[in-house]
Parts: sequence; C-alpha cells; structure tokens
Amino acid sequence: MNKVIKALFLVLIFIINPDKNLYSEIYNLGGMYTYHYHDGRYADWGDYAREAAFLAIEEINSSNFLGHEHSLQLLPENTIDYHCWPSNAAKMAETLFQNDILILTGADCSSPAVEISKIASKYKIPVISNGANASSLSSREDFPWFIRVVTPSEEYDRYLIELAHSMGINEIAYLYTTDAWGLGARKVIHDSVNKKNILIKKEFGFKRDTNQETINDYISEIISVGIKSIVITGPTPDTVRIFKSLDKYEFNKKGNTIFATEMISADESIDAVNGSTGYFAPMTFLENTEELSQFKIELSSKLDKEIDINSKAFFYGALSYDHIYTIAHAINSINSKNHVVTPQSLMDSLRKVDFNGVTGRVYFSQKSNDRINMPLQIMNSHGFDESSNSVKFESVATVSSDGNLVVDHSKILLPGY
Amino acid sequence: MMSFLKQIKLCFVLLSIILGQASADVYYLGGMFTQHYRDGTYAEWGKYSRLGVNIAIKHVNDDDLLDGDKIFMPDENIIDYHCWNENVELMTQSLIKKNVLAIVGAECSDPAVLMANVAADENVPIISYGANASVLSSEKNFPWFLRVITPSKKYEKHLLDLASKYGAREIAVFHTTDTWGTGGALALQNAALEMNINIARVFSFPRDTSQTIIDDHIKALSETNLKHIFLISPTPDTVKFFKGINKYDLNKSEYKFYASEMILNNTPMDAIDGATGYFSPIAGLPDSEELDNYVKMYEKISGETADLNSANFIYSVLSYDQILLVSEAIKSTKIKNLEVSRKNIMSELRQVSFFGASGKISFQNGSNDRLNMPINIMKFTGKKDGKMRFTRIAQTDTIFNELRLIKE
Repeated sequence: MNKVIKALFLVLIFIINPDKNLYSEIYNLGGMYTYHYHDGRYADWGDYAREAAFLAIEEINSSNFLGHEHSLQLLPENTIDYHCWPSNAAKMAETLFQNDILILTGADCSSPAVEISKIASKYKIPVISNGANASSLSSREDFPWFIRVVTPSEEYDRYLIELAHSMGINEIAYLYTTDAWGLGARKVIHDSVNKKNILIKKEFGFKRDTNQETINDYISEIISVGIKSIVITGPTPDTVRIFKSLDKYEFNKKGNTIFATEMISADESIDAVNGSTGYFAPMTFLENTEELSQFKIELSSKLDKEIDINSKAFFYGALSYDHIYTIAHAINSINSKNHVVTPQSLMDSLRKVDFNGVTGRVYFSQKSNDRINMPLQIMNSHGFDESSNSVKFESVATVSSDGNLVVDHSKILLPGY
Repeated sequence: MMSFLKQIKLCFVLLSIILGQASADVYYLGGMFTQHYRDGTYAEWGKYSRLGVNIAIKHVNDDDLLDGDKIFMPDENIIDYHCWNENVELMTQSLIKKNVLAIVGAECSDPAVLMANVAADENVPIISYGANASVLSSEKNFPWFLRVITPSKKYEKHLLDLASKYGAREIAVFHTTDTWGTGGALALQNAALEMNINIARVFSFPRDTSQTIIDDHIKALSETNLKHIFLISPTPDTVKFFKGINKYDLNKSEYKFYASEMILNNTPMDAIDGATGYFSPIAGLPDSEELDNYVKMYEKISGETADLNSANFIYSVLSYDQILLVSEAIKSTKIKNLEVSRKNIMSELRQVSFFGASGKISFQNGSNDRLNMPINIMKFTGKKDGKMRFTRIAQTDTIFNELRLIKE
C-alpha cells in the first residue's frame, strides 16, 4: 500500500509541477525541404539545406546546447521533399502538423511557403523558413505563425537595379514569374526602376514552369527590338530556361548585361551556364569567420563533397544551419524562464531571438516576419570552371552599413569577355 | 631467374588485369521511389524498398557479380514522386537525361503507366517491384516496362477465392477510380462472374477522397445486409476506409473485410481498430537459400530483425530482386558480347530466369508480368509491440495456382 501511495505522490508531483526540467523533452521538428524540383531536377541547394539542418541538430544535441535533458529531433518520416512546389504543400504541412511537431522547418520556396504558412495559422504551429523571401510573407498580420532567417526579396532585388543604374543602363527587358514571389519581386523592380529612371521597354510575366518554346519567343522578341539588358525574377528552373534561351539566341555577348534574382546551381547544364556567364545575382553576404569555416568543414564532411563557399548551395546550407539554431536559442530562452515550450511560446520567443550565427547576426523585425540588417552581396557568374566541373561565382559588390552598394569593378566579368 | 617465356606470360597476365580494370564499366540507375504520399503521409514501405535496393547494389558490387563492372544509384538519381501522377513524366525525363541504364522503383500503378509511356518514347527500361495494375501487363502497349510481380487480377481473384471459402454469395466492392483501382475492380467483377458471386453494391471514389465522403459510403453500406466487403485502393484511402468502419462500428464478427493493401505501422488507432481481422494479399516468399541470405544481409544492414510477414520486409525483398534482375540482364548481355545498352538490356530482361530472394524470376512471353509468383493471404491481427501483426492464413500453390487455407 505504501508503495502505491508513493507512486501516486510522484505522479502528482509530475502533474502539478510546472518546472519542465523535472523530465527530459524531445522537441519534434517537421521539415519541408527540396531535394528535387517538381520536374525531377536535383536541387543541390535543397540537399545542402537539409543536411545542414541535420548537422545543426546533431551538434545541438551532442553539445547539450539545450541542457542535458532536452534535444531536437527531425525524423525521416517528418521530413518531406515537397519539390519546391505549391500544389499539395498545404496538405503535406497539415500531415506534419497532425504528427504533433513543435515547429516546421525548411519551407525554402516562397509560393509553397505561403500555402504552408496559411495552414500553420489554422493549426497554430510555427513555420521557420531558411529561404522563402517573397515580400508577401513579411506581414505578421497575414502570416502570424511564420518567420524567416532571410530578408524579403525587395532587399535583394532593388540592389540589382541599383547595380544596373551604376553601370549606366537606362533601359531593360524584364521577365518575371506570376507566382506570389514573382509578383512581389515585380513590384520591387517597378518601384526601383521608377526611382532610377530606367525604362522597362519590354516586360513578360509568365507562370512557373512555362515551356522553353514560349520563353524562346520572349527572348527572340527582346533581341529583335535591340534591348541590351535583361532583368529576371523567377525561381531557378525558369531562370535556367531563360539562360538557355539567351545561349540559343547568342545574347550572351559583349555590350549586353544580365541580372537575375536567383543564382544557378553548380551543376547546371552547359547551355544555361554559357547563356548566363557574366550575369549578376544577389545573395546573403557571409563574413569569413572561424564559425563559418568550421561549418564549411563539417558540412563538407557530412555531404562527402568539396564545397564552394561562393555557391548557392553553400549559402542555403548556412542559412538552414542558422534557422535550426534560431529554434534552439528560442527554446533555451523559454526554458531559462521556466516556462513551458509550446508552439505559442516558441513563436513568441522566436521573434525575440538575437544571436551570432554562421550567416552573421540573426535577429528579427518586431513589425514583420523578416530577419533584419542581413548583409548582402552581388555575385557575378564567371562561367564554367573546368577544374571544379561547376559554375563559378565571384562576389563583386557588397552593401555598406548605410545601405549603399559598394562595387569592386575589377572583379566583374561581363557577357562576352 | 625467370625464363623469358615466363616473363612474357607474366606481362600478358598483368596487361590483362590492367586492361580488365581499365574497361570496367559503371552502370547508373535511376529510381522513382515513394517516401511520402502526396498528402505528406509517411510511406514506410518506401524506406524498406530503398533498403532492398541498397542491399542489392552492395551485394552485386561487393561480390563482383558483374565481373568488375559496378552498378550505382546515387541519391541524386532517386526521386520521391509521392506515389502520385503529377509531374511524373517530367521527373522520368530528368532521370533519362542523366543517361541512366534503367529506371527502377515505379511502385504505384497510375504513375507507373505514365513512366512506362515516357520510357517507351525514350527507349529506356522501367522495372517495377510494386505496380500491379492489370493494364501494365501488355508488352505491346508498354514495351519498355517489366515488373517482378504478378498483376493485381491474380490478387483479387484469390481474395475472392477466400471469400468463397467463407461462404460469400454476394459482396460489396469499394474501389478508387485510378487505373489500379478500376483494373482491380474489373478483375474482381470477372472473377465474381466465374464464381457465381453477386456484386451487390459498388462504391467508387477518386484517390484521396475526403473522410466525410468515405464515411457516407460506409454508412450506406451499414444499411445493407452485405457482410463480405472488398476494398481496392492505395494505403491512404484504405486507412480512411477502416476509420469509417470503426466509426460505424462495423468491425463485428459477422463482417469480413478483404483489402488489397496491408496497412502500415504509422496507421492511426481508429483505423487499426476498424481493420483488425481483415484479409490482404501479398507476394509469397518461398523458403530458399537466397531468401536466407537476404535475411542475413537485411538484418546486418538495417539492424532490425526481419519479419517475413510484414509488408515492409516483403517490399524490400521485391525491390532487392528488381536490382538483381537488372544485374542478371547486364551479365547476360555481356556473356553474349553485346554492348550493355538500354535496348540490349531490355531484350535480356525479358529472357532471364534466375532465383531471387522472392523465388524464381522469369517472364511470360508477350507480357510484362512475372511468372508463377506465389501469393499469400494475410490476416491482420492488430498492433503489438509497436508493429502491425499479420498472420498468413492462405497461400497459392505454384503448380495449380489454387488457394489453400493454412489456418484460421
């Protein structure tokens, strides 16, 4: 009888004591990452992002970053390859939310991230993104359960126009996709060209995954009216089609310039690489810190691949690593106050996180879902590099602390050179 | 001191080795494997089918089954197509552009039809370990497709055999309206006609139909006197069906349920309660040295104890055998001194005959189907120790292809 009373007493203590440190907790994460695009093309950046997320989780757990009692867990069954594609993204996210996850990670593509964030609002479970930068996702009012370790695309895209302006360009052709992200980017491009007095002489909006023939028609029309500069805001597969077309119609030659919001992957097809050599693309600026170097070594070991720190894939890997650490910092903050870690307390805590990650200082606007003061740079494609059998990018411009673009003209390689 | 002749001989041997090494080839495969369904539900069997592939590739390469040549399937070449049609053609084309020798996996029937069409246009072999829609049997219609299983009509026929043994004279049929569900329903209809069993009600619905609609169908069923209920649908719909059965409290001794899919470990409790006692067909695994060897490799690599009655294990065996089939075809092509090309491999694939872990593998002339594959009927006895428990209650004999009850 005494034993029964003792057992009941212990159970009672566990029930009524709010101190979570009395028992260990495994925080289950969900993940929506891209390993292949919906057309089956391998997305190296998505692979890096997923592996970097697993790397961060392993480190957090092995170093007892959350204390001896707690750990993070991202199970294979809770990690979905959603192909960077919006259809079914909401259903997939819903299934993960029904699996009692604390937070959903990844969600790296904007249009699907919008769908995922809508369903997150229904389930009241946070979504943290390492890459979705559509302007529309900034709104806390519309997406109260969303946060991202990147700045919105307007912070990126306007610098493309600024660079074009600094190069004396006064008219462009503009191609954009009509998904949520593409339309957000279009607004930014229009605002920016108006400010800089640049004329959009031809403009083509098209659905994601528009066929190559249609894209070819657009490029042919652009060339026929003698436009020398092209600006592109679309996801990578569409950007690649445009580059293929630029190669086909030999647009990539002296006197022409190309600006695109997406960096192409290292293993892109040779016609796309040739069509894009010399183009400019914005990307997060990664300061060369000891932490970043260490991360590069560890990720390289995990992937069993040589890593180019100027590749798109590496940037996404670093951002993904930091988005998992953002969660860990938020959980630590809750536990340090002896509060219970719930989706609601985690969402509140995420917005207050402030730490130095491998991508620099990670902290968030209190008015939006965006990371703030994220350093940016402009990358310039130097074309195919035989020694590494991949596309090479060089950083040719950075954004100064007062928001101005600082261009290193000596590093720029333009089309046809 | 070595004689001049011996020196020449040694040089010749060394040259042969060097040339042999220099001419060793690597054959890349593409994979279309499901890890999650399109609604995000985890397809646990997909994990085990990929495990079967890994075990097979390791076996082929480590044990040098191809005389120095190797086969590889890098992770980049394995696409999770979510057992769904959307974008499957594009995905298949992307793999084909990677110069793969063949594409394996393709376990879901509807997408497999699309893959097989692309494969026919591009002249690339597609080998499936799970797509059993009857429509895929035709070599004429799908000349670049082959599967290491028999078509579903044999499965449905044997389920009906079982129902007949339990005295069924009239049945209700639920089926999805995809190629596989429709083909299965048609096969069931033909078998019922032959056996003089009346199909009194049919409920058909698209894949991924809402729970509410499925519940409405179950409610309608509950208002009939039909007690032998057949279901031909993919796993997510099967789970919804059993949830409905539980909701309307139909899992009673007077009812018997026959479903084409074995439910998985992650099935929710209400579906498990609705499903307990149902019957499901699956490939039979005859005892053999090859199976014993596979079990050893499986347990060593996975660290798990093989449960020979689980769908996960059986899928892993079939998936293993599809790779061995490719390996056998490569071997056979090389023996004939032919170039290991997609075309020659396709031709050899149809002619090979060997013993895999799931038994003898050979193919019927003019058909894409494996010959003489034994079938077991499993009874679901509930979830114990975190695992779904299925017991084999009937099996076919490979000579007369008749269903024999083992025990009840």
